[in-house]
Amino acid sequence: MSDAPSLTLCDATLRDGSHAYQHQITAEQIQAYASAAEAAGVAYLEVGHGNGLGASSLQVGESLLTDEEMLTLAKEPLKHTKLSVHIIPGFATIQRDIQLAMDLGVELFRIGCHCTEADVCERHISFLRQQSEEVWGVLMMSHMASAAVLLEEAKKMQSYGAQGIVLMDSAGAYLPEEVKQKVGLLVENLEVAVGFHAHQNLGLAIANSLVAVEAGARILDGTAKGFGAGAGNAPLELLVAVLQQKQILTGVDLYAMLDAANLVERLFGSALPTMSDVSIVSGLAGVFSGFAKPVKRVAEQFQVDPRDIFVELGKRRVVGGQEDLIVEVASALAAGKETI
Amino acid sequence: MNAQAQHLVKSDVERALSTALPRLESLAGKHIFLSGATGCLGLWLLEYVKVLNEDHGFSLQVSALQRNEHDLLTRAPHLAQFEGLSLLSGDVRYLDGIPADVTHVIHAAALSDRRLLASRPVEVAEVNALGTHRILQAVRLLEDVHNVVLLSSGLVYGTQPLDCERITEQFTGELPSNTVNAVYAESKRFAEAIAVGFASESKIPLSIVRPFAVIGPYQRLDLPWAVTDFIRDSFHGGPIKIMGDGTTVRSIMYAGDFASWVLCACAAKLRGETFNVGSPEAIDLLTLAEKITSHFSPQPDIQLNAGHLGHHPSRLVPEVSHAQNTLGVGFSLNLDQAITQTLTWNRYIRSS
Repeated sequence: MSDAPSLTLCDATLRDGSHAYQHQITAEQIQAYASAAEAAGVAYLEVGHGNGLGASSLQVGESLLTDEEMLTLAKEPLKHTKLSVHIIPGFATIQRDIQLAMDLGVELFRIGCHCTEADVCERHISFLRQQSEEVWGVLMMSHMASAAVLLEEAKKMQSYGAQGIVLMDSAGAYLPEEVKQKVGLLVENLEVAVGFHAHQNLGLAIANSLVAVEAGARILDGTAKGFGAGAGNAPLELLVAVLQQKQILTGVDLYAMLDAANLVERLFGSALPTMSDVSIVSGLAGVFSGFAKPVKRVAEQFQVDPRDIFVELGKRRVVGGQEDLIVEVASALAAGKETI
Repeated sequence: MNAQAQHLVKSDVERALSTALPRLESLAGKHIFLSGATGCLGLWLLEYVKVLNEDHGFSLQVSALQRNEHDLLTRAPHLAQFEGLSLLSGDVRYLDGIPADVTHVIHAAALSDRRLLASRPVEVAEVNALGTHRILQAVRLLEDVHNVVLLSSGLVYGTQPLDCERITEQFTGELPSNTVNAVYAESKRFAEAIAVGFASESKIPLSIVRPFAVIGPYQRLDLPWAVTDFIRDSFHGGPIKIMGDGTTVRSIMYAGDFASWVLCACAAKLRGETFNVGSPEAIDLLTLAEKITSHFSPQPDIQLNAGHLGHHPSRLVPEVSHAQNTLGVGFSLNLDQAITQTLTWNRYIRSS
């Protein structure tokens, strides 16, 4: 018999970072970082295309490596750290993608969907629990729904068998009081552990993560050097440092995590995210951080201000998967038309 | 289903009948309409009827309603054809009638999967409450109905206080109605109220059965309940994850006894009675998990507090003396034996 650790850290560097690297992470980078994550002792290492298993496509960007290649490479050095994948039903299918990941030794499956559409996860979560795999539910773009709606959706995922529920601040739009309210309500009403996945658009990723822990979260996501979509995630090395300062046990070695962060700096250099005018506006507009690169590209193409594109996308309440609207909005802005 | 699994269930039925048989004699030559025939309870009831007809000359007829045409063939092909069985297919919400010579009705059709409850609560309410309405409308047209047994739920009681050892049929606990979670319990409460209304208006002889947790053959392991999770995860090598500290308390009845009690309630010449059906022996989830994992080698790890900290334990344990005293029913297997039988049956199924 054993007790679960007090706080579980999930390292999404090789998954969320894929957005920041246009999904071109190489075999050498995966091998090197997976070894560093293992040395640091993070509980889970999430690997794959930024949009998860099976997502490599023209629509959201093609990966340099296949899912099979990425997972095989990452798995090799992992002894204590468990390999994890992000799954969005619609991109990933059970037979083609999930079965493959199970065969490759993935130990945690995080099934994500837009925060008001938990129903679409039922088959994936149920299937994995029937195989006795560890599975969590992930509510993405969770700033777009009220606490009550998030609770309803989280309860659905719990009823399907999810053993953890993670709220993603996919747009980096959360303010601390909202984190406290939403995470707190879920903690109060769910049986399973609750987690929080922060983004840095408004410079609050670490602060929001700490508020989530104070509200009862037992899972935190982060990435080394914040390597992730948009303005990046909660930098894991910082997270480990402040959690250590607060005497919250994570099982992660601080120096080894700092080494991993240094490694990420060497591996990904100029692709590391920074807080920019565009990322701040995208956070304020509440638009998915993964839109940053395509928005910049389209803004150049149509000679419009990328910040205006984000504001307009925010008005339309766009979500991941609606990347094609970027062109429509930019085109309308260029023509001087009202977009809505 | 392989011969060993069939034999195990038949042995259980024969063991239960060794004491229950005299109480079932009033069913000889009668005609039962059974809804929910392919659920765990329905399959066990068919096993009993098959043995009663083949080995004890009961000449019972059963009209068994299944939702889809091939459900029974898929789940238990050996039960799809035996003397006295007629298979009907259809949704209880759209039932167009019950055979005119039916004398007894067991209404067990319901949606109880909490995944469905979360995703399609309106459908759950419709099947459980309006399905009952539809059945009783059809029952009202029968000329010679002796008993209608409505399968309700132990969840109609609401929250059992931790300091209340067992809940009796008179207990009423806190049950907020304005949440999605309330839909299942409220649909069962409304089904009871509808049935009582029909009984009053049309003088239908009615018995209400409120079942609690069960374990046994025919229980689907893909259902996300604690006991099915423990068994399924043990078969996969574990670990068993308990969200809280393991102090949540339940009681678990063997599915074969559950069916035997329901059949006895059906055979009893009573009107307007409500019975708790379950085990009165409390067991916390940690002990239950330990009992299950002890049957596996290597023994799967049990992880406590896998959920959030400060998880609140709950308790759900029935007082069943009313059923025991009124129906004369008892237990053919204790919990340890029930777990052994369940795991053995599942091993047979997996091996085939």
